[in-house]
Amino acid sequence: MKLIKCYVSSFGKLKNFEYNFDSRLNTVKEDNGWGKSTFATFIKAMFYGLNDSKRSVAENERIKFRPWNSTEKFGGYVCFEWGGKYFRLERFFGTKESEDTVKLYDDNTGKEYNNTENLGRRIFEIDEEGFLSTTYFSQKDFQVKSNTSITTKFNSVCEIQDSEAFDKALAKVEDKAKTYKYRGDKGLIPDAKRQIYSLDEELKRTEKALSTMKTLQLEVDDLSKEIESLDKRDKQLIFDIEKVSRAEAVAIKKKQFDQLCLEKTKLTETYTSAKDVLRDNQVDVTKVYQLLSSNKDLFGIEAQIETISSDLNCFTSNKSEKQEKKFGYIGYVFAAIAFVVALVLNLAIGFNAIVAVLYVLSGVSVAVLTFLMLSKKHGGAKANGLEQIILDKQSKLIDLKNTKQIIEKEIDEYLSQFNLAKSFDRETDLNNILKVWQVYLDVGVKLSEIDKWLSAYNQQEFTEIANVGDVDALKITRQQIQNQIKLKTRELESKRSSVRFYEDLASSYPDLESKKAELVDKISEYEENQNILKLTAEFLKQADESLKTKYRAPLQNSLSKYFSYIVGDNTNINIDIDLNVTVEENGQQKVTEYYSKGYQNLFEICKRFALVDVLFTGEKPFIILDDPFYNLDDCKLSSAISMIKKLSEEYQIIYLVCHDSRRI
Amino acid sequence: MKFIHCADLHLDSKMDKLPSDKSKIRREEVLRTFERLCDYASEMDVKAVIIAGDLFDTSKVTIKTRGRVLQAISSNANVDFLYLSGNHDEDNFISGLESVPKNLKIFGSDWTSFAYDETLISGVKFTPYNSKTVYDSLSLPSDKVNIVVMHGQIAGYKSEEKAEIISLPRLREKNIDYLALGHIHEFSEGQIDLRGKYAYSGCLEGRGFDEVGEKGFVLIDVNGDVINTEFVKFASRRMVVFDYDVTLKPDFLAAKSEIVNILSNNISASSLIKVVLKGSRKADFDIDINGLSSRLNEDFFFAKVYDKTEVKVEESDYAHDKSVRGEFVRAVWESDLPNEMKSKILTCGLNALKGEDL
Repeated sequence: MKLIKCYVSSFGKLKNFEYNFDSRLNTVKEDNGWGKSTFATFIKAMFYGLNDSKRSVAENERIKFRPWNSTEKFGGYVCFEWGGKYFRLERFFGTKESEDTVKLYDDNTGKEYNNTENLGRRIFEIDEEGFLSTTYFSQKDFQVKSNTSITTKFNSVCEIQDSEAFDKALAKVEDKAKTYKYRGDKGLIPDAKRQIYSLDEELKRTEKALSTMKTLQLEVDDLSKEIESLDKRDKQLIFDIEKVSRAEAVAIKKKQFDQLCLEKTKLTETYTSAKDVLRDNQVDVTKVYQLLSSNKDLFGIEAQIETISSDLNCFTSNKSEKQEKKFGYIGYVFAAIAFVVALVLNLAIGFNAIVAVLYVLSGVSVAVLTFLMLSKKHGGAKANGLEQIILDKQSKLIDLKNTKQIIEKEIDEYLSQFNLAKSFDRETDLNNILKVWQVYLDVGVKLSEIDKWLSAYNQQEFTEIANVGDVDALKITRQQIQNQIKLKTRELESKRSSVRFYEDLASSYPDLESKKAELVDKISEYEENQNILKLTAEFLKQADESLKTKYRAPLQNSLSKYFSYIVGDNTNINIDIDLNVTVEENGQQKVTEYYSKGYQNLFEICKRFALVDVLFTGEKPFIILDDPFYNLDDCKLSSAISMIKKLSEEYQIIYLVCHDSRRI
Repeated sequence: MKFIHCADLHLDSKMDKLPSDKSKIRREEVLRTFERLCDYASEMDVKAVIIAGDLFDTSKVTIKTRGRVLQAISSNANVDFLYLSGNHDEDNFISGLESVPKNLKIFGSDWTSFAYDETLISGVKFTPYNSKTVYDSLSLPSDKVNIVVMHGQIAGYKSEEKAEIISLPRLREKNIDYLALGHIHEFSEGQIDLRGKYAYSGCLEGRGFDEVGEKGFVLIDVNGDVINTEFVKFASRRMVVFDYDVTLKPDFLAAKSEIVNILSNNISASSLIKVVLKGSRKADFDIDINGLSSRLNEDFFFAKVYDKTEVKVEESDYAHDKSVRGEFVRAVWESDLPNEMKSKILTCGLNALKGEDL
């Protein structure tokens, strides 16, 4: 790329200034104040426009280079050759960028190109800053600043088409990595860790609740066992109390039992005696009563015997008729009495028809006999009637005596089967038999009843009650136990309520654990992603550095070449991929700040040339040198001038200088 | 006479690898499945449900879960529940209870037996003190149908968790007809000796993608001295792991479409699915895990996609690429990182260089 001509219509101090460039070396030697820097800025401004981003007049090119007291547009044009073609670039500046005009023509055909955007960048493949850091050597500041544009240019050298994409890609990867963690405690990972911390705190609380709950549960178990044991004791006491209470009832029963036993003994004796009397014979009560009745008849019979005997005595001794009459009356009376007595006895003892008839007949017979006797006296005296009466009476007496004997015999025979102590009369004996029999029967029944009663008693109870305690003492103990049960039950309820409370607190444990597990998984995923992103960023940087390393060698070679041109010695000068220059001295790398200002400028100049060498491998650009050697000593100046001359063989040089000593 | 052998319910499990909302749903479902099992046992006139350990996942049993378990047991009073605690169970699950259901019976650390006519069910809980003596102390009548319950792993099974090792040789000739085991979460069965066999019922519900396949319990039918067993599928959802090779697929869209089709046509919508993308792909074969995952989560209860593919980089493609891209690919490829990581870095870097979202 070569500048051919330029025309400054108006730009700072320069007006209607035209310059035709040599294709190699162009030395513009003018005094200070001529406008050399203005000229250099004009050339830059033709390609990149004005930098008006700064406020100060010194730094704001639009203000600085606008003609004094003029609002008219200022600028000019430049003709250049690029890629074998000739162009004419016109640019005029207004008071602001929107007023600027730029036009590009084909200098041969006059055809205007429409696309005038970013012309400097398109031609030099470098932005304004990069241009100022490479091909434009400002007097004030020609320190090289490595920027994206230069890197881009480096990448371009390395046939890279995606250098911008690299910056974006790296930024994207690093930004994405930062979403996981940046500045200590920001990002997804710290957020998740904070949530885990918070969950851990909750888990600790629930674990504590669980632990408390378990302790309480054990206490509940112990209490339950205690209550169970107390309940057992209480039940035993209830049993004991019941037993003691029952013992009292049993004691009463035993007393009754004992009395029954005693009564049984007595009755048994009576029974045995009766049985002994009865000699195992059954007593026919009817028979006894019949015998008793017969025995009673004996009274009548005996009375009759006595009467008849008396009569006989009377008759026998010839007593008077009066006496007979009287005897007759007496007979009637006696018969009546006998009849009444018989009747009463009969009624008293029990009605017996036969006996009654017997009595009536005896009465009647007494009456008849008496009548007959009297009749005989009255009427039969004549025919021995008295004797007949005596005979009859005697016969009757015999009969009666026989009857009496029969009855007595029957009674005596009956009584003889019993072991009865004989009394003075048969009636008593018969009644005694009846009594004994009745006793035998009654006592037998009673004994059977007593046996029945006795068998109903549980005699084992009587032995069990032998060692029972005091019921009152037992009741007091039970009361104490019940109080203890009440207290313990209350305590148990309270503890169970606490267990429920803590269980409720702890119920969120699985949810919390799930959330924590999910977060732990997420952190693991985040960390893996972050690690991948970090590694990706490292590999991208490594790739970038690797590329830069590839151009560092030629850069280093160029730098060494230019430095040796000027210094002429074998000083080892190095440049890293970030364009930092160091000088090896005594085996140590020293930064350029250790050297004089003149040397520092020299390092920068060499670096510039080296950069231009490396960056512009294709079409070489022009180089503007705005009096860069003003602070070199004569020796180095000479070498520098020689170097510029040599450089002009390859590059078009526009060398602006204000002093003849530095003129080429 | 019927019995059910189940184990490893792990109620109140935290359900690793599931989002917390799904975990909560699954915890409820596992508990509900136990309740369904109780009802099923009652309806099918099952005499006893044998729980061969790990009814709960940790010692931290919530009041709600414990309450519902006890309610399910007590409301099916015609069925006995024979409970053997496992290595995950709380020893005193029933401690502190005001009342223990009468039909809940516990196997102790000494051999404990429950008789059902001619069937004798005996179980023992392993402790540090009895693990060596349980075999010698087991004595079973030869004229009974003997079901034995234990929790542990028989030699030969691998388990990530520590558990007692059960020695099958020492259980031979002990008159065992059926050995009901717990601890291994997959159904399996085998022979102890000529007379008896053993079985792991597996878990009732899969809780993670390491518990794939059908889950349920073993239904034991004792008829005289004949014992028949049958595995009954009972889980409400299935865990499915689907490996998909992307190697020959033209692009991710085609792969995604095929994955969705295969799964939709073959797997129930109630399933939990883990899709593992495998094989190799070119650097420009972009995988959109989130897109596929979102799509599958529309069709299934839960889906998660894992990218285990390797980016296939032809070194010749980048050998002369003097760009950052070329340098980057070469640098990654020449590194000592594992291939999976290299693939991820390449995918990330190349996407970044193309200006695509990461």
